[in-house]
Amino acid sequence: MDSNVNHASAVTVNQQLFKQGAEARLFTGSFFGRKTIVKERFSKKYRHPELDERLTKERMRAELKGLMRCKNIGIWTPAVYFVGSKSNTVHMELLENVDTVNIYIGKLLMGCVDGSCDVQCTNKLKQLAEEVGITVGKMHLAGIIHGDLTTSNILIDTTNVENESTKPKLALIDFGLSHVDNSAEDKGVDLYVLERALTSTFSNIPWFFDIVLTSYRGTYTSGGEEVFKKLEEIRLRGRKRTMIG
Amino acid sequence: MDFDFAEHQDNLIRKLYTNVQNTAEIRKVIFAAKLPFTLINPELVLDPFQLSVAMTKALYNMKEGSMMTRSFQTEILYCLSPNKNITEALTSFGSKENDSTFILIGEKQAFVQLEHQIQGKEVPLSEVSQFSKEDTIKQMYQIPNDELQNSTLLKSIVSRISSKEFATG
Ligand SMILES: Nc1ncnc2c1ncn2[C@@H]1O[C@H](COP(=O)(O)OP(=O)(O)OP(=O)(O)O)[C@@H](O)[C@H]1O
Ligand SMILES: [Mg+2]
Repeated sequence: MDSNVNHASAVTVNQQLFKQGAEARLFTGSFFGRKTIVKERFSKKYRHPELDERLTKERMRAELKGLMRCKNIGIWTPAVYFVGSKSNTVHMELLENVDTVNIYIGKLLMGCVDGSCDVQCTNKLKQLAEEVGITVGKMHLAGIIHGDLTTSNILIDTTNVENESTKPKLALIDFGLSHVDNSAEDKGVDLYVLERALTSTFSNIPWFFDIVLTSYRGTYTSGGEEVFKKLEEIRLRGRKRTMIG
Repeated sequence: MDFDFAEHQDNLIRKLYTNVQNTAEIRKVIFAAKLPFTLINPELVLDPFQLSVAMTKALYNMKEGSMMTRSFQTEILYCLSPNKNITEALTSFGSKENDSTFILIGEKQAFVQLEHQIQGKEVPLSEVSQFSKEDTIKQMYQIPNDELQNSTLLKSIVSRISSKEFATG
């Protein structure tokens, strides 16, 4: 009988750091035999202790709220296994066989001569761009603002990417700056952050973000247009800032 | 990070009983002698992992002094629930007088006092899904079909259990 499960090492966290972010440390671990990512938000010594604790808690709350809301509307996000409210840690499902979209695009382009894509590579990029637009469109349609929509916070399932006929499967992560709002301005900022992340690293495929936008507007038909107008305003502001700065 | 508390689960047993003739009596014995056991309604339990997630949370709350209920036994029921309504958690996830199937969780050492009194058949806990009701579970945890495109029912359940204080409200 399995009624007496051996829990001696039910919850483990590997001491070796997996990733060090600006506000969080990530470890790998396990939770009842399932592989985990443990995201620990640490305090910022330069912040006032009370403010620091409040901000840390707010980020953790935002992370869980955003993640759960996206999950609720069918977007792929890690499962949550345990939240340490005292230590500000979230033990979540480790998504396996994934690349960040950033890494994945880089890998695709590496296979192309001079960064000019061959047909197969172009097709894959197009499919990816389309799926990114759909995912972000869905999220915005549901009134969720990601808050840090970089290409490192979108993951792609690499198990089936060789197959041309299956759509890329994307996950969203890192919701610490997310909030619920229907502001077109905030949604525009999400898109702007994504655009900047793409163009700063992959300047040779400017059409990629155009496809993202087209499929975004096709998915988010009720408000995508308005967000697109905001995006154009934000771009202009951004340009002015860089001219002054 | 210190997860010693999770090891306390070593002192706990989890058993699934079916065809029980005397659930009402067992409940009485537990309440009267204040035995450290809780009886759970298996209709709302999809998998033993769901219990592990709720038990870990209940142990953590106990260790941190942040329990929402009076005992570890009721805290497990509260932790299983996706919302913050204590009464509702206890009635939905606790077993009822006339139930003939239940999951028993409690302290290993004290089990001898109870075991011989249960008139029923023990089934491996891994077979709990035979007794669970997916539609009732989806309703209880408010899991829409859309969500299951990119999640499993079990992952959606445990995510709600572990994030409820943070993600809801
Ligand atoms: N659940 C997960 N499964 C697989 N990989 C993950 C998971 N969570 C994070 N990662 C990897 O770790 C990286 C960093 O994670 P994350 O974006 O959550 O932290 P961060 O950027 O440091 O956070 P913050 O912006 O809040 O400081 C991700 O880009 C991804 O590569
Ligand atoms: Mg990140």
